[in-house]
Amino acid sequence: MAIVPLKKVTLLALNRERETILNALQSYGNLHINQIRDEEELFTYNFNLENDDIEKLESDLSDVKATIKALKSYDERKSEFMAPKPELTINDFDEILSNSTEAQKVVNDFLENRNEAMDVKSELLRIESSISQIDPWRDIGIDVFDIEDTSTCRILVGTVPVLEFQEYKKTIDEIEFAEHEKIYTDRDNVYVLLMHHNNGNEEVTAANFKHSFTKYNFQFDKGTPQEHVKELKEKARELKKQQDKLQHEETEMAEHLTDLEKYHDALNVKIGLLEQVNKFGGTEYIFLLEGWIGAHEEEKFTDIIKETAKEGYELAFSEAEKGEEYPTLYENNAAVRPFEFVTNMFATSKTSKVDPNTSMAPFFALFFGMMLSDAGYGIILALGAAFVYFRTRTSEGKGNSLLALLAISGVSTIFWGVMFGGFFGFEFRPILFNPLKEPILTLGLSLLLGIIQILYGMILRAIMLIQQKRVMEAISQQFTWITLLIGIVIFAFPNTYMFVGTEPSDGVVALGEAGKYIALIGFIGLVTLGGYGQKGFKRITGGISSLMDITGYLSDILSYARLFGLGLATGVIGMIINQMAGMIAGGVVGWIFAVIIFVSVHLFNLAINSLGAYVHSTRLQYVEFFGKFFVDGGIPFKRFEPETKYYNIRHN
Amino acid sequence: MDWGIFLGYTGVALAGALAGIGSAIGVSIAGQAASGVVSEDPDKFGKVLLMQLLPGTQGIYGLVVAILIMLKMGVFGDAVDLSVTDGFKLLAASLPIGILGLYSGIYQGKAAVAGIHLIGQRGDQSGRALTMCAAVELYAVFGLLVSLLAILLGVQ
Repeated sequence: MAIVPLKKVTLLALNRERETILNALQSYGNLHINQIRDEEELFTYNFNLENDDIEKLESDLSDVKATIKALKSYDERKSEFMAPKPELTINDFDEILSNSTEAQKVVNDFLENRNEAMDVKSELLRIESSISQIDPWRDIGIDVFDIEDTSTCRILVGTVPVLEFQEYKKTIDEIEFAEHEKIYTDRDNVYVLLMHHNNGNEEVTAANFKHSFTKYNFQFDKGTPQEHVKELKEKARELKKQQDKLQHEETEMAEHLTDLEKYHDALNVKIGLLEQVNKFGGTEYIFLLEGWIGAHEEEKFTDIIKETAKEGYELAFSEAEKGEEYPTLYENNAAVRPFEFVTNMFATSKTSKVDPNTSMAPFFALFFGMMLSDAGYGIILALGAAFVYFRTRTSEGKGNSLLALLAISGVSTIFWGVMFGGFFGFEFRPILFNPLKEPILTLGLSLLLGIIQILYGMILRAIMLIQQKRVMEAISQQFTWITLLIGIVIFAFPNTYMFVGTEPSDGVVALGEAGKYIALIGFIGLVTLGGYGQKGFKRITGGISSLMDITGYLSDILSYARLFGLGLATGVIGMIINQMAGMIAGGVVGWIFAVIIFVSVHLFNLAINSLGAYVHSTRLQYVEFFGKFFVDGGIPFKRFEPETKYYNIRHN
Repeated sequence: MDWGIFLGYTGVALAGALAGIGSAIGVSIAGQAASGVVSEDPDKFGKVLLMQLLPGTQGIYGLVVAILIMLKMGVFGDAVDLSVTDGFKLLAASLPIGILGLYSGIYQGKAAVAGIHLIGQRGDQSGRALTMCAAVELYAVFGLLVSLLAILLGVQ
């Protein structure tokens, strides 16, 4: 339940054993590798000179990815519902890479197939466009060869817009030396064969110009259009057959999808391994690796190196130097670990001994439950998430943290559902009280929980400050405020009784009086010490101005009113769903619809409000809680381990 | 015509609707900016999602005030005889969170958009982007506070 203390590892070994060593380390998986290449002055050998391998592997990988993506649509493999990914060891992947000629061949065949298909397709398009151009001339009845000017006459073909044709026809008919024949009409144009004696040149040209006659040139010299169209259509048929054949071949390639996926992951693992090389220092014969491991892993790490660096090595472990930054590695028990997911989305905490997850986890779950607040929903969420989690985790027990988080939050929801008496929108006897009947109490409870979390955050900060030996800061900033706030809360407590219409007992009134004094202590502390660290006059004004922070704290506390708002919203909507279903129920048909509405709308309510509860619970942790003590800018502990997509890694 | 109750319900509507509109607009424009950032860098999704939700607070506060007004009107229990004066009081009390929620929601949305763009450019600045955007919320809280005090202390 903490931040893991780390030890720095420095390793010198031979380049020719590098791959074996890295393989073992990648399998080990708990090493964080530092980027030292650019910082080393001595060992700056450029490994890339011998590593065009990486580029080739990456281009292979992108080919494989494209192949898999395309073949996925023909995937006919049956897969179990929500099964975990199949597993392989790192050695398996190595073997796959050495025997990858088959898979590579499939990829090459696929790419060739694709290229051919593209060529065929563009050829087909060309043909079809030609056909559509020539086809209207189909009925012309004469060979193109004959559409040739003679010494006295001109003969040509062309189109006239449909709207112009009547006029054009009249004009041409009037010209003595001209004859026209309509070949074809479509929606836009009339296709015309035109013949005229050279004497009528001017008139015809004028008529053509006036009525937008567009000359058409056949792309070929002889044969009738009809023959050409027939020829082209034959070709098109051939090409279509070829297309189908290529398509069929592609479908068959889908049989190799499993091998392709294995190849994909094997490539990924290899690339991940080789990429690390860019972080090392080295010379032509040796390489220098620097990194971090958990302090307790020292022995295990040494064993691995002993096993793999048979020809010799230098290995050193050291503690972090004073002020040196090192990566942050969390180690938590199974209940808290899923919540690291939330923290990691925010930032990595800077090197310190305080693990934010331990404290954040219970608050998160508590607030989530309060905002979803229906025991029935909680049961569905907890059971559903737990089911999928256990179903999809690896044989070594690694599962999806988000699912675990939701399952735990679901349990919290059941708790609050029981407290508030809500079950699928129906009201039952609450252990605590019914929020709808006691909204002020619920609001008060939310704010109280907020105050608790805020105080907790301040305490954490105080602890962090004390760990850094900044005790005065802890006192002047954190403890003074803590005292003041607790004092105010206790003082205000008797006064809140009026909101619920009862009178506080004498004991409570006395408590309130005590609160006044506690608050006073805090107040004095703040005014006098608030300016700590500043000189002279600023010391006093600093204290007074630090009192202004009260607005910040007020804002934070009121932010927790959303626990009340969201919790109530879920409950109210649930009730309304039941009322709606109740109105429809009656008779067989009515009951069927009622059940449908009940199930579907409740599921919808569950989904939407779960999202809201997750999001707002997260936001409360980030802004109101972490804001009090979290220092970001830390280095995340990045494990050197294989990254796979289709397979999980098994270590044995 | 029971004017007291009518005015009370108007207050409920204003508190809930206006603040909700402010949040809806704010969260929406932030969501558009967030989509832009994620299109370039999907790893930033979590951070920008959080930023997007910050302007959602006003709507929740409006809901809280609306519920409390309804409480004072006796919707949740025994019916209450609401005088016209009290009705006006409730209506007026809804305005701080309503109007303030409307504007602060929109403007916090704009701040969220800017913060999201900041995260898009420099992923490590998410904490600061968050703080700058959350600064607007202080005034929404004031609105909530004034409305709450007016309702809880001013009526009955």
